[in-house]
Amino acid sequence: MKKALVLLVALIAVISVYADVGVGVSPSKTVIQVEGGEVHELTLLVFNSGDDPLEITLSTEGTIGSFTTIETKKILVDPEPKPHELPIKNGREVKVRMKPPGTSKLTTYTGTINAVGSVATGQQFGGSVGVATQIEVQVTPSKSFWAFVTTTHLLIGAILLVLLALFLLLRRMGLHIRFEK
Amino acid sequence: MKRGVSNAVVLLFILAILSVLIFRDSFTGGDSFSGGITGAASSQISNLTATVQTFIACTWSNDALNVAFGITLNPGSTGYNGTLNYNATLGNGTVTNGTMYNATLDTLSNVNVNITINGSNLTSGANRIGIQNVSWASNYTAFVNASNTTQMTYANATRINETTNAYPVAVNLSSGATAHFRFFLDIPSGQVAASYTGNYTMLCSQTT
Repeated sequence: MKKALVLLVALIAVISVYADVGVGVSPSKTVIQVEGGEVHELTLLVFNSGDDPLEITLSTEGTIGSFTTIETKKILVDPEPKPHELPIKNGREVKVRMKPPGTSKLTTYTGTINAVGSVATGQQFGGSVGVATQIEVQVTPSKSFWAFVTTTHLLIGAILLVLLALFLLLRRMGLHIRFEK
Repeated sequence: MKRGVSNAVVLLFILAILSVLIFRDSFTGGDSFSGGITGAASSQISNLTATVQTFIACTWSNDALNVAFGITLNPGSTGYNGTLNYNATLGNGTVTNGTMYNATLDTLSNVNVNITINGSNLTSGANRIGIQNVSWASNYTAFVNASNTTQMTYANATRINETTNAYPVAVNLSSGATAHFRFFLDIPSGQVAASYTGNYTMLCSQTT
């Protein structure tokens, strides 16, 4: 009985050492057309094609990085049951939010969202592996003039309003500003 | 009279602000613009549209994530093999000169992929071995026939960079196919004796 237990533990240890590591994502490529200054949300399905649960880290790369936010950057994903088949059973949906800046002409941003996992055990040369979903964002000129309104514009507008209010107040008090030659 | 004019100016001012707000709403629409999206192959027949989503999933052998080059490495020597470069064990226990380092495009995938690699220096405290001293050779690159494993030698190896290599480890890998690869290490002359560790990242992405 004791021998059998030892053998079982050894077998489990060997299996876990030789467990494959895999990551999947859907869709593998996305082309988005969005108006400058508007928000677009994208949902990615990240799944584990390996043998053991895997902590997967998500990150952005490329010119989309400056306006892209990933809702959850670290997720623990259970492996897909074998044989692998669709639909994905244990995958996790990850929301990605993009808000490209306003533009006066069609501008294209490209990049990837990487989903990477690792089970390196401190060997000389450890590996992290994963998948990259390609993102292309075509930003069209904004139809709304408000997309071009910056903080500076708002500040100037506020100063003008204060001056106008001051002018009206003075007028109400019976004071006048007169320009004389 | 003057008071009436002042009130009219204030009223006009308020009306102007209101009209600008209404103008804004009518221009942008009530709901936020969600944009168009194409992330999948689609076909249209008459008024029926079917959209098939794209999937990629790559699986690496556990050995590929834990590469060792041995413990007796001499400065000024080149082409040290990863310990499992020529040490594949078959199901019946027979050891061959095949490599244990591999990546497979899972059969769930419905598009072909490239596999790229980059890495970071091997370090030991303040000492380091530059990542370019580590190189790889695979059976699935643009310049090697997939069935020709004789090219997977140090002489045909490509050095790893901190940024993604121009040459992918695997090119146009199809669903169910496996890319095999080997790792090699050079030790620069005068390298300080220590135990160094480093890492690499491999990424699968749809072939463009």
